[in-house]
Amino acid sequence: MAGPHRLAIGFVLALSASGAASCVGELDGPPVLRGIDTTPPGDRSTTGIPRLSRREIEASVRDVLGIEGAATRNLPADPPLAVDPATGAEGEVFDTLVDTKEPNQVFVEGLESMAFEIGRDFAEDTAAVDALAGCTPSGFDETCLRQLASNLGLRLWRRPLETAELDALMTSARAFEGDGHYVAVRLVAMALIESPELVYRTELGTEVAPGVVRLTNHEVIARMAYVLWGSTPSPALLARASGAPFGDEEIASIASEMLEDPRADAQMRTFHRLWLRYPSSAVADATLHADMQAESEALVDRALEDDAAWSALFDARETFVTPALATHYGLASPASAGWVPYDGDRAGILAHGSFLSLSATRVSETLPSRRGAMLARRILCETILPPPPDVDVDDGVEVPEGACKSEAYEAHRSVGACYGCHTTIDGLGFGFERFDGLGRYREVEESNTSCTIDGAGSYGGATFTGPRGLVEVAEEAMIDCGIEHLVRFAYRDRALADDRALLRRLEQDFEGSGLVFRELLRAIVTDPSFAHRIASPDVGLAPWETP
Amino acid sequence: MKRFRLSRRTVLRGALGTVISLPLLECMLDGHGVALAGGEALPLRYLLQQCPTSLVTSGSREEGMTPTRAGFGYDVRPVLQPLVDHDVVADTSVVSGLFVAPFDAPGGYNVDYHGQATYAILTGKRSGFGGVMWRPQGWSSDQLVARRMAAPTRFPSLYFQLDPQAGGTAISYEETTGFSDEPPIVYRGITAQSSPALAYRSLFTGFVPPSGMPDPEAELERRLRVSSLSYARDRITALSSRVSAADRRTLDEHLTRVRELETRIATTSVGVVGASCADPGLPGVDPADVSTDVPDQDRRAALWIDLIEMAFACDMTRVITFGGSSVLTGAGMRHDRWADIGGLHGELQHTATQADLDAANAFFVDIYARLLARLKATTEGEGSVLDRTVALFAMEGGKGLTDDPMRSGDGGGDPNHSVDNYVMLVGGRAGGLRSGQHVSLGGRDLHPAAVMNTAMRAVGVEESLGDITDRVDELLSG
Repeated sequence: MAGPHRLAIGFVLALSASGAASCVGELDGPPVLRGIDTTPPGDRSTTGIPRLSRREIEASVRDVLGIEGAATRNLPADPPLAVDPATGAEGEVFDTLVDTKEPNQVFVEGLESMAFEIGRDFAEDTAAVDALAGCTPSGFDETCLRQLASNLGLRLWRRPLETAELDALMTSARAFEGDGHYVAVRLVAMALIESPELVYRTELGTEVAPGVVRLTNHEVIARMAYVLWGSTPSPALLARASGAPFGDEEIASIASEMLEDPRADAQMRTFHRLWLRYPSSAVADATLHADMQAESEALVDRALEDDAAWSALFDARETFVTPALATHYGLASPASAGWVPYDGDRAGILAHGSFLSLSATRVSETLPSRRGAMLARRILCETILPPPPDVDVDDGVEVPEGACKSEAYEAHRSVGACYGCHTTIDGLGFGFERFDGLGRYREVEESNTSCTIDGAGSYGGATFTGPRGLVEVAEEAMIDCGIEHLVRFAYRDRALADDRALLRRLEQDFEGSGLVFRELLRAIVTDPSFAHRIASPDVGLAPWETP
Repeated sequence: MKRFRLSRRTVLRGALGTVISLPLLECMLDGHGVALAGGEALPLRYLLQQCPTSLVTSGSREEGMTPTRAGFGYDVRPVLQPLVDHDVVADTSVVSGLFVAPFDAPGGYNVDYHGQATYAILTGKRSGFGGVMWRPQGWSSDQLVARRMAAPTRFPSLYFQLDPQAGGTAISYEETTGFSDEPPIVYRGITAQSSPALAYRSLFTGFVPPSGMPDPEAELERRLRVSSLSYARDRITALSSRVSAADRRTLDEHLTRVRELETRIATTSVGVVGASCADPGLPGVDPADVSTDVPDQDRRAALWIDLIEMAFACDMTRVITFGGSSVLTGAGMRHDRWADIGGLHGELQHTATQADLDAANAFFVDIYARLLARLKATTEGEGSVLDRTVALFAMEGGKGLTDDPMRSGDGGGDPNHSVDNYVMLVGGRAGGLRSGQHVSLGGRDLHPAAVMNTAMRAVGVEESLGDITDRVDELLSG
């Protein structure tokens, strides 16, 4: 499945959507090949203290203490955009990406504020506190408090606290002896939450080869839980971690249990929301927006079913619509919300209004270059460099009065330096041009109805029309790209998404499963690399790799 | 009526082991209410508000901001109308005709209007001609002022942001150590606080009003917070010893922030200047969006104004930076006033009408004017907080009027992408600022940093920003 056709067109593109003159002289010579298969492995070392995202901290607090909203209220959002140091391009990133997580003042203050709030609310529910501690205090009861600290610490830090760590915590707690037991409980909860062990998922492990660390059982369990659930391990999983070092079979067994948990289903949906970004649709009409969200959610759910091929996400020939949304699209209207067949060039999520609106401007008008760049990056994983710094990409290509958009873009592409970039991104964008920014079909240009839209696009040397046409010529590339995005999401690091050997193993497993997405997740957490971390940039081949 | 006098030293002696800051109580003022009893002047404040737009749209050569008449009693153009509406025209000067060279010159920028030009404006340093190309090359004026003032306040400076959008590019820069692949000294953006609710908690948790009695519950909370942070500090230190050098750097930064916070909380008293200091009582959560992905920018602005007023009035800081959006261009910044157009940059500044952009710019000027009006109404001694504040309003760009790339940048093709004919507002009366005039500098090619140098002098910082040593003498008396 590793689509050599896609690798062959993996150009480094420089996006320029500005006026023709801006491109002149900015890019000399042909585009540079990315050279995926010939580039020596780069630095694949990753941090030993990946920080949780706000979403993950929120879920962890909810799962451990039953307290909701504390992280969302107090912590800053994880940036949705970041500059890729490899290309200098600012692009969309997952909230899990470690590069974006500086421990700045806003974060540290927010964490402290969150801890204060949680400590207060937790200690108020004395019955719950005592249940977690497994004891009922009489007055200030240090034994009972220590028990609470041990049990709560295990859940929050995802590993047992060491004796010295508990001793130090009790020393701090004793200062509140005169204030009462449950005031000391507040202190214990606050201290555990503010400690680095909660927000940083420590992966220190043991060195098993030069520069390669084998994670401890608790670290493996935590890594699995945040990949598969987006949250902290359950008490049962933590109990299993206390035994002998996990073998492959045990990890596979644990993976099976975790993948059956409803949290795994929720996590799969979360990944698709963060990757495809359809919840960020710019559709202003609230009803239409809600109907489109329901449409996309329904398709994602269908693609995630265990008896379905995940490729339905792109190639589904029907869609879930309300009567109003069907009318909006010009499809046969159902009596009530339900699945209806697509017509013409529509297919899968790429025909949804929620997706097509993402690169629109002025609500319904389209910028083909911008839409093409979005498709190239998000769906096909093409690397697109930022435009030259003195190129203004804000205006789009200027369409002279009375001219057709396609003619103006064609003229723009004919300018030497613009050709390489715009041929690819415009080829994709114009293939979708028959769909406006709200997902409606059209055959003439919105601003000049005398101009017909032929809907012809191109990608990788093939021609296509509309979402269905692109799927026919590039579905393998789309599937491979989905895997690549999932690796970015799960491993929190950009470097590993370039680990071609890892991607190939996952592609093979995914294909072998009949494209069942849950099996792709299983393949990630049971991959021989998963229980390890490369801790040094100097590592050549890791123990699980063959020359 | 005889005024009760209490020296700050007496307050400190009475603290009995509790570390406290240096509160400035009304009763500590001298008989004229313009200085402390000990002769120390009342605090001066530096405020920098940034507006993420330029003066013109791509298709326009006209704008609605720059007065046509120079001197005092300038004509108020539509974008500046909020200054009239909030009665602060006489408190605000307009400086027009500023220029940032789009070439290698002191304070000039290389090719990137959106990034390098803004760095050049805010630092006065050449930007994009060497070193780390896409980073600021020096201190921003607010951080320089905060360092030089070294005020005994809980926060050396505060940096807020109107729009809640995360990420993006900062407008406040500080010096720091470079990573292994960088020069030893680099300048990095500071992360803005974009949540009024969180900023409020940070500033006012444990707040004791000037006339309030000690609150045992607040004291208990303070002890809990200090103690838990102390434990966390020790945990960070312990973990640091077990990680790689790169990870240690992350933890070191975390540790620094924890120490700073611990010190602020341990420093229990909130500095208080005058009876105007009060808890602004912000809601515990931020305003809900008015529609999908459209923040309630008006409500958010009102909350930030409340907070900035009291951060100054209570002497929690003397330097505040107030950004508009996380993206220098305002890209993606939405408001229900222009939601039907799109984001503030690509759609509104480039494809909308000049009237649309003027209205958006007036929205930012209105926030500035309301802020000034509030500081003007906030009494301190025998004057107002505005009397001892310099408040700058800086934009992303000006307007390019020629096709000469040596003046307008970006090949001269887009009047929007230019830092020629740049305008700044200077409000307040700190250090004897002569407010209420239009200083037209056309032809002198003074850099915006010249205005910041003047503002810095107004608050007692006799230093130049970056490469620029000029000042705008007309703004200062004497």
